[in-house]
Amino acid sequence: MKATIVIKTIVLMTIVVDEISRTCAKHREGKYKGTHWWGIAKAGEPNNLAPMTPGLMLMDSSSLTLLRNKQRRMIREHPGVLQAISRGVNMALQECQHQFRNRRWNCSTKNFLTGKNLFGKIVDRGFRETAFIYAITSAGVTHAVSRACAEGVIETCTCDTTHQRRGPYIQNSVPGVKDWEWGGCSDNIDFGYKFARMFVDTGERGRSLREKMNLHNNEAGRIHVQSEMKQECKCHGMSGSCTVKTCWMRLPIFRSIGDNLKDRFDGASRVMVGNAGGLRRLRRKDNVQNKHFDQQQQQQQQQQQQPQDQLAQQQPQQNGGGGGGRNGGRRRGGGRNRYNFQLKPYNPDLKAPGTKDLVYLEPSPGFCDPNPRLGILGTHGRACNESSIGLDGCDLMCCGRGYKTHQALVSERCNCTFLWCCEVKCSVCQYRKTINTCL
Amino acid sequence: MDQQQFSLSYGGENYAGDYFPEDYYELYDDELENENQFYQPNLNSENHSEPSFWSNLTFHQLCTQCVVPAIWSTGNLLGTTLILCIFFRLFIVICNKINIVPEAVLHTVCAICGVLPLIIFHEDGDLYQTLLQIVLFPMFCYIVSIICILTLKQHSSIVFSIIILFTLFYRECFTNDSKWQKTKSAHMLMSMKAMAILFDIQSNKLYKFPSVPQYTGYLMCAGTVYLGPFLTFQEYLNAFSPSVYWNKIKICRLIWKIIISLLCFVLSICVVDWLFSQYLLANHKSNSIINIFLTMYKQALEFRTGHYFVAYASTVFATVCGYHREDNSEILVTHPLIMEWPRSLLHVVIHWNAPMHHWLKKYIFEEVLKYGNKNKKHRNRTIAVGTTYLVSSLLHGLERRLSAVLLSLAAYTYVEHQMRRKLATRYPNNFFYYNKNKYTHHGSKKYSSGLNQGNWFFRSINIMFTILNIIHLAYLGSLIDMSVGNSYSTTYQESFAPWSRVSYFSHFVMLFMFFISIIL
Repeated sequence: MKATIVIKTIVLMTIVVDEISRTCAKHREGKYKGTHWWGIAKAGEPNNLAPMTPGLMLMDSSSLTLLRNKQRRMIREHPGVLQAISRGVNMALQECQHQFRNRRWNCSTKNFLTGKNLFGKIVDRGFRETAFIYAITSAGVTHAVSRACAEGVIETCTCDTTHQRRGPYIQNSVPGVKDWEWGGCSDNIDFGYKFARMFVDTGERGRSLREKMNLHNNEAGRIHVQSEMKQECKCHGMSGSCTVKTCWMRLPIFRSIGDNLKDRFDGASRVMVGNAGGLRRLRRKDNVQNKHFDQQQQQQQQQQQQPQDQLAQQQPQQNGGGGGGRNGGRRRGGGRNRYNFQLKPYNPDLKAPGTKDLVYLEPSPGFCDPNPRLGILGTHGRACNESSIGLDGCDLMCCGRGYKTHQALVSERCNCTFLWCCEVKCSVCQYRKTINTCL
Repeated sequence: MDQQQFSLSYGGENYAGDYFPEDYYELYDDELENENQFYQPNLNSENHSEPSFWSNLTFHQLCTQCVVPAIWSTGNLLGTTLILCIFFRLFIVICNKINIVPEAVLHTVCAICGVLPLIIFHEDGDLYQTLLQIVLFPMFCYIVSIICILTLKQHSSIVFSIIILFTLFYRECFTNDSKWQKTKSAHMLMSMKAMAILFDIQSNKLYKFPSVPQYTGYLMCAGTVYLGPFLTFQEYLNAFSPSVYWNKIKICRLIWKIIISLLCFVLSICVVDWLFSQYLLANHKSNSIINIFLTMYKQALEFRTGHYFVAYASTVFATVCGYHREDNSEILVTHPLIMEWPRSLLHVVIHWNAPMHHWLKKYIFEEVLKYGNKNKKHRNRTIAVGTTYLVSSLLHGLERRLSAVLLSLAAYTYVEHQMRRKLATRYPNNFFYYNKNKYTHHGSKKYSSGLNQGNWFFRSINIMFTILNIIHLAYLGSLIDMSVGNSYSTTYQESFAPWSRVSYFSHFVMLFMFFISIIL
């Protein structure tokens, strides 16, 4: 009897312990999942170029394990959005690699199935590069989701028709754009912004400065997309005059967002490590300023269309107030004031970073040599340009280690001729090209 | 396991050199903007023109997201105008029955019906200014024309025309904003009408200067304030006569015209863009000749269909209001089929906007011819044609692109005309547009329907002319950008980018043809 009881208790104990350890593991796993959603960019590999139905991708367990519960729920609630997010991340990745193609750190990615994070361990630090990654991916998701809305891919949102009459949204969020009398279908930046905010920022729950930094940079990426929204119109009238005007809002091409973010990357401001309590203190003051600012902004908009830069400088105080702030914040209740914080510049003489600025915490490492602790691959084996004295030049790229030169056969289109009529024929030329790679 | 990705190909013509703050990577301070040769081979993957907004939609999505909202929103302005036109017409009919309402009231009602749509659909904040511009301009015209008639005996109409044209020019140059773009067509039409009245007075076609109600009613007559068409004073007065008859055929034709108008609107807004981008996306060779031509043709087609929309809408309004010619024929503004298959550029010029063509012909071309020397007919005609095109571009406020298009069109038409004339002297009946009795009166000008008669040789040459004209028109039309942001405040290079991109080939073709026509 006793023995069976002992055995039963032991079995029970092991089950309980097992359960506890499993939940612990789950919890631990979840804790670091904040940025793992990037992995769904590569979820469908190797054939992720093929158009995939959302249902199929939902089946894909490997991609869903990357997500937090909330993100999973959002994807369930908005069928079709997964595809858009995947496209957005891929777009962001390509843009990042384009912007950084000549740098020592070239936005390299890991094979996501083996590693935990798409961009490697660098995202857990507070470098400038980290800031850029966060901003560009957030921007990518915003962009792709907004576009997908207009294209009708996502079932729960449609193209934006709210622009047809004046509303508070447009006056606050898209500076310098007047409302117009009638419009068609617009890219739904409103939905994209909201969605990206909820989806991308789920991981950044804590109060640590690094999470604030991530939040700030995510927000900066979204604001860049939002503020670049352009109004496009077509005119009809006698002899090219503009009597009958039809307008819609349109997202910028992602390249220009990448360029802007790269500019902000170059001018990113370092913020202070330390008193996180200071973040909360500012909140009330911010709200007061918000109201004041909104009025001020409306007045200004009535007076004239003011240049965007000027507005961007005034936006720091606005942080959660205008435009997007209303959207995400109000719904989530508890996290309402999540975006109301002001980061302190490292150098007190400099002005505080604005909403469009990128912020970072620590100076970047050299990126010259492999650093497994930071997930840096180093520049060994990178191609460099012998003649350039810029960043992609062999001297700088290889960090003085020298480089080796070898010849490679390159095939290219050449001797293109115009054939009557109407065809362009080219032949393929092969020639030797000198390729330098760093040692 | 870790794979280093060498990012090579994402296109990047507009790669600007990096800027580094001082505290960052001191090593790289001396970076220069250096276009990296290594990435060049992959550059042409991305086109310089971004894909259009409607490009990757299915047809159903296009319908729900572009066609329906566009038509729905068009209904606002145009529907209101149509309702006001119908109201005006009914009012006139009732007044004709009762026969006690003074004429001045009718004209005033007409003017109010004309201006109301603009007031209802004003952009916020500029109601006052729009009203001011729309109402003040007729007053200005009236006062100036009275002054001109009283002070000048001989050349009052010419002086008045010059004053009005320079007013338009001034507005285009110095107060060029969205409001002006909005009221520009109204001002153009009003100036044309005011000038027509003065020319008619001088040539005694009109015996007495219209009264103030008549004048305001004519300048701001219902339905035609902002879309046209140009009406002569007589056509305007015909609306008040009880002789306008309606029957089923006329109503059917009216509905048909409304359908065509909306169809053209939809084509211009989204469908053309969508259709062409389907092809252009499928065909990735972004810089091949055919793609460049198609892009140009697309742009021009959008402009043309937009024009058909305006033309048909204005025809509908004019018909509903009851303006008609003496012989009770309808006012037809444009002929899309002649435009799309241009047998000659002269046809295009005539049928682009027929009422405006008549105005230019009657009041500018023939007026200038009057002053010419009797012995030098050819020179006179050349000068008259030149003046006509100049006035036409002045009417458009000498807007850079439109003027360039108009003047080019003048040259093209002249060259083609010369060429056909030379050919016609050798092979009569095969190359000329109309029979011998040309340049007498417009009504008697008989267009030979047998332009493509004759054997296959002449026919093929005529078809070659047509194809060349299509190319010319695509080239000319590509310059006119219908998107609002680009229509003004751009630099010279920007506004002529579509032409310089194809290195002005069409002009060279024209020059080449000019030399051939000299040799012939």
